[in-house]
Amino acid sequence: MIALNNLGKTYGTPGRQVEAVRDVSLEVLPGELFGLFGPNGAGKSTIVRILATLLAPSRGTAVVNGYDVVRQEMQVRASIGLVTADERSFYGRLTASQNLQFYAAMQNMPRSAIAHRIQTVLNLFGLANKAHAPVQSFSTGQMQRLNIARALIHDPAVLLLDEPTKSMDVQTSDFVKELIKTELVGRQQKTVVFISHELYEMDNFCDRVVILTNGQVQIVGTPAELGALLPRRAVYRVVVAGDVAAVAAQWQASPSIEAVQQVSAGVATTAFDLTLTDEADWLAVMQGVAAVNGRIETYRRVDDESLRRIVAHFSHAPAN
Amino acid sequence: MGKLLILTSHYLRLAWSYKLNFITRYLGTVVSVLLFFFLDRLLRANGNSQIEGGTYFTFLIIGGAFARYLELASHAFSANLRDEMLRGTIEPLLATATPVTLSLLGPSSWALIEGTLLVLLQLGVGWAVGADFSQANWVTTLVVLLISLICLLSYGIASAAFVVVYKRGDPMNWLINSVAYVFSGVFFPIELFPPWLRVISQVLPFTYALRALRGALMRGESLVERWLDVVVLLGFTAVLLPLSLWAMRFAVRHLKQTGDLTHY
Repeated sequence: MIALNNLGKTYGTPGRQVEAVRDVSLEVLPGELFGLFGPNGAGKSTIVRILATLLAPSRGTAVVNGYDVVRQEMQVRASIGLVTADERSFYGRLTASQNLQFYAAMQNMPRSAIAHRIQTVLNLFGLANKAHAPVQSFSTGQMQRLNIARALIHDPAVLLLDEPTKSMDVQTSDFVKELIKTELVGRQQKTVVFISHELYEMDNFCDRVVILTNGQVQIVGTPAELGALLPRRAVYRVVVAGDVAAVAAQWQASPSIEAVQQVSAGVATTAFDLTLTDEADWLAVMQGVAAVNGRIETYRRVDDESLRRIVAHFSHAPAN
Repeated sequence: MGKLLILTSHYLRLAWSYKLNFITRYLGTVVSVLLFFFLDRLLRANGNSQIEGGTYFTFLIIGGAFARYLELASHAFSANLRDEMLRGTIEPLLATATPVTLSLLGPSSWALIEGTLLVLLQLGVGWAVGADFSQANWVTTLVVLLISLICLLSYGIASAAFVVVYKRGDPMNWLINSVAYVFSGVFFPIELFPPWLRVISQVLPFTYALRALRGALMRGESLVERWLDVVVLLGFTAVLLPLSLWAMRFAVRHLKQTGDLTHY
């Protein structure tokens, strides 16, 4: 549905050039919910703006819904719905319905179909009761929902969502993400490119994620696939009771434990951070405690298991 | 054409949503006619109101209407484009299945139509209160207006191109506001200038347009009689229109390279 081949984008004049996107090649499948993740300045928005034909690539090619973004830009624009990061991008004095009517007409929708389509998208995003209210009376979250409704107005095959939940509260954000996943991708089989620089947005949401840093693809895969590529190192915080000194000595001698760090010591219990070379050894470590008259009161994993760690690993930056 | 109609009706609706502003534009036109009327009365009181074969009032009404259109054509494109950029609506518009140039220039469509209505209103009110168009040659007037309109739009298109590329510092507006108003003979005949200043008037297309319009409306002159003005005006248009379209094409290419239309 979307294919990028050695895509590159350079801004600036000769001598003062910034390479925003470098040799990006990837494919987004039909009906896929594809995450574009990376820190600020990674090139995510540049890629989306190239896909939306707002920017011309400096090198390489990009094809959306079978159309080349340079040579067939009108067909590309008819195939996509773009949600910009700026939720205020409406004619505030006009109503939601009048705004959508304008964009629907500009997207070549037949006049007879526009009213029904406006009703459909406003219903979908819980804005039916605001159809005749001026957009300037909308809350930021409502404007952002209207922003997505606008992108959907001509029923495009591809949705490009640049931080679509940026200004929403958690409940609205969850509602919109659920709508994207179940209704737009699940039922309507739309292809969605979802940009975010917030990791929690991608977890348990995107089918696949590409991690970009400095305009380059670091890795592409499902969150699970990316996690499986990580080293199997693990850090546990363990609170032990009993013969704490003997337990600590056992851990320090263990070849499967890379580091032992005492975090705190109470009257009856002491907390340690244990760094294991391989998380698979955790069970044996726990079982060994009883052999030296120790007892594990509580334990929990303290290294970040989310995409944050994956990003840090693949972009060679420290996780925080 | 369909898209142009959509854009026009949308921007009419938007203009009407600012009702007070909408109404004051029309009232302002009527008030400007009153200003010209009393300036004419002042000259009459001093025993001199005849100019270029008609009254000073008629001279001013034509000059004022032309100046309004001059200002509008040069400002409309850049001002409306700037509004779109500030509102953040230009990017969603550019992402629709609409040619880029139409998305950039289309927001001015209603402003240009409204400008024409305001000019007609000014001429109509002027006629109602005493401007003399009894000798007018309407064929010459229409032809000259049409050529002038295309010539003026060239300035407007070039102005929009400047806004796309530089955002501010539009030399077209400077040219109109600072030079053309004074040197084209909008409010007084250019013959009042010393010869060395008249050179500036002679390199402005508006001078020829206004002279031809006054000739047609005040003295009923035909295209044959005003042939020199018409030819010069056509010459300016033949040069300026392709230049402005080239500038717009350059601006669109620049926009595609930088994508910075969202910042102002």
